[in-house]
Amino acid sequence: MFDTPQMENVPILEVKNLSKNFKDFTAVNNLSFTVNKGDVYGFLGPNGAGKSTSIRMILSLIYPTSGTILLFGNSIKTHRASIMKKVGAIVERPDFYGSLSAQKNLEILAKMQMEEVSKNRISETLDWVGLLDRADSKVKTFSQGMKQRLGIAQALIHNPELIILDEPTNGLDPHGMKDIREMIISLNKDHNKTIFLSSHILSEVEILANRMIIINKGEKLVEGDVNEILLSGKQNLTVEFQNVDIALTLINNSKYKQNFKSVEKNKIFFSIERNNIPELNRFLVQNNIDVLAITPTRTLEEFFLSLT
Amino acid sequence: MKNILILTKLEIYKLFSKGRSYIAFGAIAFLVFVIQIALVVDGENFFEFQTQNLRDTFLFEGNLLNGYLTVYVILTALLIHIPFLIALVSGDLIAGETSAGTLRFLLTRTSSRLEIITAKFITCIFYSTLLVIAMAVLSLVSGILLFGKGDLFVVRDTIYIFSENDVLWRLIASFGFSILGMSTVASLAFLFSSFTDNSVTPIILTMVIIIAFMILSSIDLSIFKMIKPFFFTTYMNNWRLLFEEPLNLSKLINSCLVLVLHIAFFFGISAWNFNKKDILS
Amino acid sequence: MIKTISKLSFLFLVFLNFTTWAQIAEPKFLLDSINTKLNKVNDYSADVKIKLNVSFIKIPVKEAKVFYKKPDKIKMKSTGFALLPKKGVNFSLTTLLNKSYTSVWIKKELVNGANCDVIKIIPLVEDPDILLATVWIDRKNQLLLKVGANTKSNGSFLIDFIYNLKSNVFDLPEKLNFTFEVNKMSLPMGITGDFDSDKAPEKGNKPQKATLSLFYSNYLVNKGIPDSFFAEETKSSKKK
Repeated sequence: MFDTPQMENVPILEVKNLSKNFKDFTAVNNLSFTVNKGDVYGFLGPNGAGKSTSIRMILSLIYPTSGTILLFGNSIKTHRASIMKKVGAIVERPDFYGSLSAQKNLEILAKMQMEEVSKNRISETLDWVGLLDRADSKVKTFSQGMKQRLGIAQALIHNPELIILDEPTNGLDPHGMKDIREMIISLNKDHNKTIFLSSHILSEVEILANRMIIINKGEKLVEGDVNEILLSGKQNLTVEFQNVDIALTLINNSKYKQNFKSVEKNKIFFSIERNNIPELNRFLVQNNIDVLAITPTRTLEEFFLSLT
Repeated sequence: MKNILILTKLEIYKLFSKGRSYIAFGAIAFLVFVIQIALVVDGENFFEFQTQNLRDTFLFEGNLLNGYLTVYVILTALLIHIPFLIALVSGDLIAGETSAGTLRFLLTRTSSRLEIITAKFITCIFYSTLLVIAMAVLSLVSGILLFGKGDLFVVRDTIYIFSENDVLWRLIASFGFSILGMSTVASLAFLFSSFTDNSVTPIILTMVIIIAFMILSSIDLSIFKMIKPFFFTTYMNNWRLLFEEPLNLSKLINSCLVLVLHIAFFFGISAWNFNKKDILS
Repeated sequence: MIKTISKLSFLFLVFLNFTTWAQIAEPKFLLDSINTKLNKVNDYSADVKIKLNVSFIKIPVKEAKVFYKKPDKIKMKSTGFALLPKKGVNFSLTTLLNKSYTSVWIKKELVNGANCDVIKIIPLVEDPDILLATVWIDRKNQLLLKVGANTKSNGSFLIDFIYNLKSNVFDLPEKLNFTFEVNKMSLPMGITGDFDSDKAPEKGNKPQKATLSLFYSNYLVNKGIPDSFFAEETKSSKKK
């Protein structure tokens, strides 16, 4: 239903030196990144980092102060119709015409694509997001979670290649979040959609994205493969000891004192470069320290906090 | 063009799915009904009292309280108040979607901003036209049914009496002219709607401007007389020119042109602003 | 010679006085003659076009049907609306002449090319509405050409009678022109009024001359209109 032909990696979204200045502050400053076909691209940053502003610029809701944005190799200024046929988006909280039914809302938004979208397709889309039984209900009676699903539905009805999701799980309970995540995975894996996912929920991006960018105060901090980013830099390491006191004395008298973070019961917590973990292991073994377990506990959240 | 047509149909559909769009029609119907009933009950006495001075000198042969007179009365009374009803809907067309958040969805489709705002503007004009037509049909039908037809008695600085067969086209033309006038009001509210994020502000601003212009026009100071030609409200009232003899066609056409220019100007500014503004809501 | 001239002069003076006396004594005869002629018309109906010319009233020419029965019953039926001045429209010479009056011959005067006798009529009844009337009579054709009157209730007016003698045997007029004075009145703007007229208000309230012209055609005379026809009260007649 939502299938897109598989192609070699080609840039679908190219953002170069994008900046946006408002009257009294700079929301986005010289931002550049590329989203390739087939990516689930995580767009991360704390609140106020400039994520929504960037997305709005990509979708031409806001005009950049400088920089270029190319979608499918073209500028939206000159190729709007052809580009927007291939893009579906939710920008922040999805809002609909409350006095109209879900079905009617989708019909209106579908017609605005200037394409024939059959009622059948709308029903299929509603079914896919789990709202078919509420197709004729007025949207004002929907819960937040249902509106989010409907938001995804409106982004999908015209079978776009690129789906831009701005905080899609906002306001949802864990069940709702899980459903949305599964939809995103399915769209990417089963239907070859490219997903541009903006979120401040880092675990979400960690689970879903293959590539990502982290921004703060409108500037890029890091961009690349999620796993590579996670594996770079210092890791959190938890080492469980038979006798933590002996281990603690040894650590405090060694160069690994600088990596010591804290101790709890029989565990010592280290912050250490991933490459140095084997060396620490050897050091402990050579000094006859009985190690029960070594567990890296590095998360994106910690990485993010360390960056921002 | 085809896109704009499709968008306009959608806008009209959305407009009439809102309850507030029907308030104006309900109000018009109610007011027409009330005025007609009041004239049935007391119209003759009132009219006699109003023309008492004239009756001291002249004999009145025939009946002037007829359907055409009631329509004229309704025109005079309601055209002062309809602007508010028009602003209520026109002011909501963009600002309402901005505050509701649905504007974002509209602007992330294939249609350009110019196409979208053009469709909304056409809808705005369509609504005000429909409202005036509804008023025309309601008042004419009810007036003629209740009071029949007859000659029309109009009091201005001169008293005009128009023969029955000379009245209907004037009334229809007046409603036609009023469509222009109300479209100007609608365009102004639409303009404000394109600048704000809530639909109350355009309504208030539109009414403040109309009321201010009307008050300033009515004060008999030379400075206000000088600026009066620059108030569009001055030309909105010129439907009354259709009830003069001889007909001042050039002044009438001039008024039409001025109103059309105002409409075009308001739309131009709205489109320019809408095209360039950042959608932050 | 002097005696002849004196005799001739005396005779001339006597003749002059006689003719003058004859004219002075005659107005009643002339009026009676006119009245007799007018009384031949018991009733008539006619189509009438009404043209009112007042500076502050614009009304198109209205068409109506007028009905008359002597001595003073008049009824007008109009499909549309007609505005008639109160002054003079109901004037009836027959009514005036059927009551006690005195008349004075004033002079000869040309009216529309006809040599007319100008006669003043003073009603002798108690509390007359018409205080003084002046008539211009074409003696030769026995036609009333003009009437002027000062009335108690409706001020003064002047009526010109224009005839097309070939059109009817009863010498009913083809056209009547009423001339009267009217003050421009201010009307409350409440019901249909205009609150922002650009025109400056007129200063002063001087009486203005106004005219009403009635064009008569298709007379049907002495067809026997019953009194009951005039007894039907129309709304307009109630309001007179």
